[in-house]
Amino acid sequence: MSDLVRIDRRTTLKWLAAALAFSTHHGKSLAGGGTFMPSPQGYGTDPDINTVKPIEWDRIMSEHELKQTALLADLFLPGDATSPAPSALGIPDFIDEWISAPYPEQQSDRGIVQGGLSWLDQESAKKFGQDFTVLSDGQRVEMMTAMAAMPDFLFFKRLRNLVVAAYFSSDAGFKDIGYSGNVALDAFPAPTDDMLAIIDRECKALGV
Amino acid sequence: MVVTTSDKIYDVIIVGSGAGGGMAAYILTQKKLKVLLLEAGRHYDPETETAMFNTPEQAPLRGVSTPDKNFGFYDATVDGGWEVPNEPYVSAPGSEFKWWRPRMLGGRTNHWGRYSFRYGPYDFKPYSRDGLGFDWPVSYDEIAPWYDKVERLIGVTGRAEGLENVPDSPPGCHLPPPAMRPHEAFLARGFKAMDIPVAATRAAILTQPHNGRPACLWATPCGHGCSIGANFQSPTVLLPVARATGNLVTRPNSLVYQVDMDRHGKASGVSFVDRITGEHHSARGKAVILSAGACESARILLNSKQGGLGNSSGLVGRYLMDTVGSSTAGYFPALEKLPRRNDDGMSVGHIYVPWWGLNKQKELGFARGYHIEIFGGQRMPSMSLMGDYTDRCATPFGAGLRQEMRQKYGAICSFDGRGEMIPNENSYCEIDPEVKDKWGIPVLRFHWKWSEHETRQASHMRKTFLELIDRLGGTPFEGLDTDGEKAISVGGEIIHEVGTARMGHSAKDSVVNSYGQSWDIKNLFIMDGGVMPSSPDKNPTETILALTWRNATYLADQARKGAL
Repeated sequence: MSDLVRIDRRTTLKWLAAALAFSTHHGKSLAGGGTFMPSPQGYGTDPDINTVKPIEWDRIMSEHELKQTALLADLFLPGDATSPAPSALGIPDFIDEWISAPYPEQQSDRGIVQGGLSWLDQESAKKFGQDFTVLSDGQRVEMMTAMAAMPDFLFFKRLRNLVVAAYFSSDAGFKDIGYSGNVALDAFPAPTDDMLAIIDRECKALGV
Repeated sequence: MVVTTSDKIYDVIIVGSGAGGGMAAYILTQKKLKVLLLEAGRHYDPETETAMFNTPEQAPLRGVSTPDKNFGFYDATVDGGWEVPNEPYVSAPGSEFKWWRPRMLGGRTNHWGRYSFRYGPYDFKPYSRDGLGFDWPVSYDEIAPWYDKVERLIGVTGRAEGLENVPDSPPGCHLPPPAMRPHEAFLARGFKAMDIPVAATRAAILTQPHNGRPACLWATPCGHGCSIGANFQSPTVLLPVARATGNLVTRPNSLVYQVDMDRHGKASGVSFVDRITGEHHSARGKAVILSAGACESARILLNSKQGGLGNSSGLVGRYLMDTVGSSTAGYFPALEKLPRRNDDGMSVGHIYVPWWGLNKQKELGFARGYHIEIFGGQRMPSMSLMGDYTDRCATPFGAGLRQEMRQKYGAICSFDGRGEMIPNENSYCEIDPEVKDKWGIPVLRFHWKWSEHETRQASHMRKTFLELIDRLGGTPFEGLDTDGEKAISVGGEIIHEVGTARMGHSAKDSVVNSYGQSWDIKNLFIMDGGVMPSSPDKNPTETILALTWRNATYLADQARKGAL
């Protein structure tokens, strides 16, 4: 399974065009980052993997976009009594780190995410007369439901994928999903009899 | 061009420090020969440079693959990957080839997959068996004792399986294999229903303390490197022993581009450029071993002389092979029923599927076989793995999405077919007439073409995976196309290049003899995958180690007799 997520280039370009049209209409630069030029440098081919250093590249998301992303992320995976919400785990910052990165996959996501966030305010204004961040909880859920129902809506699908994957690949996400590895063991445990019984039962049900 | 030459004359100069070069240094220094080891990349110390327990959260972008680190932030590949800065290569029009190169001590042994197999008796005599490709000038029985030595030294897991062409090791060679993971027990049932036997994994990972090295601690990916030395890497297993003899001088950042000759037609040393200073140097030795990897060693020979050095056969660079690869991933609802547990174990599958169709090749429509590697279970979440789970969830958002993720986690498994390619005239590397690297050294141009033997095999891999997934009630979601042309990997992508300086019975039909010794220049040896006349489905590293142990022993004997 590849780390590369294939994105339809034409769809990306469409989103970029939509975002640019919207920002021009409102007389402000795209997402507060209109002058951003991608850094030619990533972390390089021989980074120091032992030292956790600040990310090399500048961040491009505006405060408003971060706020939108936090609200959306917490709608994708709401926190509860036992699980933190994505915004409490820095997921919006991670999305910023991601779309700000000077690599092709992330740059492709930049257009999708920023274009989508821009569209979100536009759509919210149309529907409710104000931007997404000041809607009521119920109105936001209504927006989410509408987006989820839109066929091939790349922004929703991609942001959902990034938010959920980033959440569960965090240390806190490990705990939430029940990943208990990454610890040194003296021996590798064989499956318990209970587990083998489950496998046997499932296989028999499948006829194998 | 100013070339700095040292007065020192080494007994042997080795180019490259991976499986071949590391093993050659290990043998020759213990036989009291003075060795200069030239490595194109920088010094690398897995003990201090491997952040074993770091999690994705601690890496930029959760450690995903990027153009800077093609296999992810923590992958043990320094300054390389599909592209090496300042060191281009080209594919000929109509060809696509990918060439993976690290620039570090130990080379690709730092990140390799650790599946470790002996080739079987048929693998050494493929032409005799089906009339395709080329026989090796050695048999399994001749190489078997060297496999024994390698397995006893590096530590390889395995169990006697009694399968045709999958040699069992003599007692005391294999380490005990690890227990199956639950999902592997499940998949084994599916394979059994298809009459496909499953074997215990054969991996160069220690399941018990071995030769002063500790056992695997059942966590962290081998491809990140192992700071405790519990898997096989040249810098943790071979080079420390060589260094301790006092007979080894290692020079990193030394990119060798030429074998130098004396007026008697013998190799007198090598010329190299220091990748940091850009200065050119030459070093002198009584014998030269090229272990730079099949393609880089071919490049050195082809750049050493018009028409290629040691190339009276015209075969240097020819009959380049890689492993056939194809993969499919599927989602298995039955695995949702399993409770949580720690599935880390080894990076490799604890079981694998050796080739089961030896006597069915006529009906299958392709000549050679493949094995299957398996990945799955409740493994460390990554962006790509969790992204795959997210895309399997029906709930668009909300508490239900979290519940669905929890329920599904552990139910994705993926399958990698790894098959034999038959050498062909259309797959080779040569010197590009125009493109040069940063230091003005001409680069390789690759030509590549799979034959129907490979594309049909790739199609069969996919069909096998899809049938297994179907029988086990799963849903495939990646690697669905069974058209062989589309299912097959890109040449070089599996990173098993071999065959560019093949061994044989005579100077006419091969570049080197069965000891890796150039037919044309008797003190010049090739000790890497280049010498292989065929490319069995079984991953090549253990065979490179076994051949090199044997051939370096021969070299030392010849040197002692003054026969070089």
